[in-house]
Amino acid sequence: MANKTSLLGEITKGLWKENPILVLLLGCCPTLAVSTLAYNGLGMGLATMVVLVGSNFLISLIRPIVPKSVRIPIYIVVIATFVTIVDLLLKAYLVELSRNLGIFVPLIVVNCIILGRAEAFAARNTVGRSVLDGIGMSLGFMAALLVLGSIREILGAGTLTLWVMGETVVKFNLLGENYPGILVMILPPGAFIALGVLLAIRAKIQKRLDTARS
Amino acid sequence: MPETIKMLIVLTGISAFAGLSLAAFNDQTKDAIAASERENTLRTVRKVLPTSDDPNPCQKYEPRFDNKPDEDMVCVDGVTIYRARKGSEIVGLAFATTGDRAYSGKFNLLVGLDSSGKVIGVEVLRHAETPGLGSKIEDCKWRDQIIGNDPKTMVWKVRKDGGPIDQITGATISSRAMLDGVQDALTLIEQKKDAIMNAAPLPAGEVCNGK
Repeated sequence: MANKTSLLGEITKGLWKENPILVLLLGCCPTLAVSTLAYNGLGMGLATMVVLVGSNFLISLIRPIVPKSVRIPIYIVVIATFVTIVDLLLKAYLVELSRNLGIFVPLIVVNCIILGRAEAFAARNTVGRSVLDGIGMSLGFMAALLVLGSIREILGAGTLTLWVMGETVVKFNLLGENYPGILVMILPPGAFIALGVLLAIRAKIQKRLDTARS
Repeated sequence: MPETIKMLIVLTGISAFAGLSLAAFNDQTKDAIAASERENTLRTVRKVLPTSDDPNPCQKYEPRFDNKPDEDMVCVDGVTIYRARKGSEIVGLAFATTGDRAYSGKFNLLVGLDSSGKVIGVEVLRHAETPGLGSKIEDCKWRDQIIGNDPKTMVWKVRKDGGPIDQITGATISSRAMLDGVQDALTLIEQKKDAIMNAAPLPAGEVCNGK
């Protein structure tokens, strides 16, 4: 299937033009639930990246032998396998992250970004393009989650946590020890508020760009 | 080849491949998972059995015991107790209790007592309290009120119930549940001190059933 997008374009489209969260609004469940810390957003982004790149790769690879009628069960088996691998790896080597994300790691299986890309992209494109698409889409997902998590953590707790591994903690106390925190930003409504603002900002910038172009 | 047979073969093949690779990964990671869970338990035990006489919930701790408390566990009334020893003498006990009447589910606590029964540390292992309200049971300021009290004279109640401890604003239920967990550990040591101090450790790999 011919595709006019350049190889680089396969990566960058996920970041801006077809950003899975800010444009396609896919995968909102993990997005809203885990973005209480910047680190959680980053970690969820990384976990999703491994799964998405892996499943895009394998699905585009086995594309010629997959009968149309059972493609969805096959995609789910492939995706579930990658998710379980990621879950095991997190439990073994990134315990804090695994605990923070909790049930949302196994739930990556039903993240519609992943099945969506498998069905809409990997099942119709070459291995190379599918991997690039997976990288781009998950970078876009991770970037959006990181921004969302940072906003919520900074406003909600005054801190910015970027990495936690055993005793190694990269955490900045941006707003001082005595910052009381805006509680609502940590709670679920804060996720919707922050996501709404992000969506609005993205749409505004897009509009400016479109006007400038025409 | 008929479509049905192809379908069967492909789906079976891919599932078998998935199963095999998962088995391989499980094999590769299971030791690391067990090790990191253990490491985590030990780290928390170290935190609730601190070295100084003026325990502060947020200082950095050096263990003052030299055994491995997770290999010297006893199970009394369904509560796991880690025994920390210096030489052969027991210098601290860490009780894995729960806050049963928490706001959201139960939470798991580790309560550290020294040999006289004084609370020298308390850590929240796992909780599902409301972030920003009940989750403050993890804060140093709150835990500081619990640590260091003389168990003989202390009343483990929040101010709202006539006790001496300031409950967390907006999280009285969580505060109460945590004190209940501390109280459980103290009751247990009062009633079963001999069993706790002298029982043979649980064999490796066995866990305490109960709460």
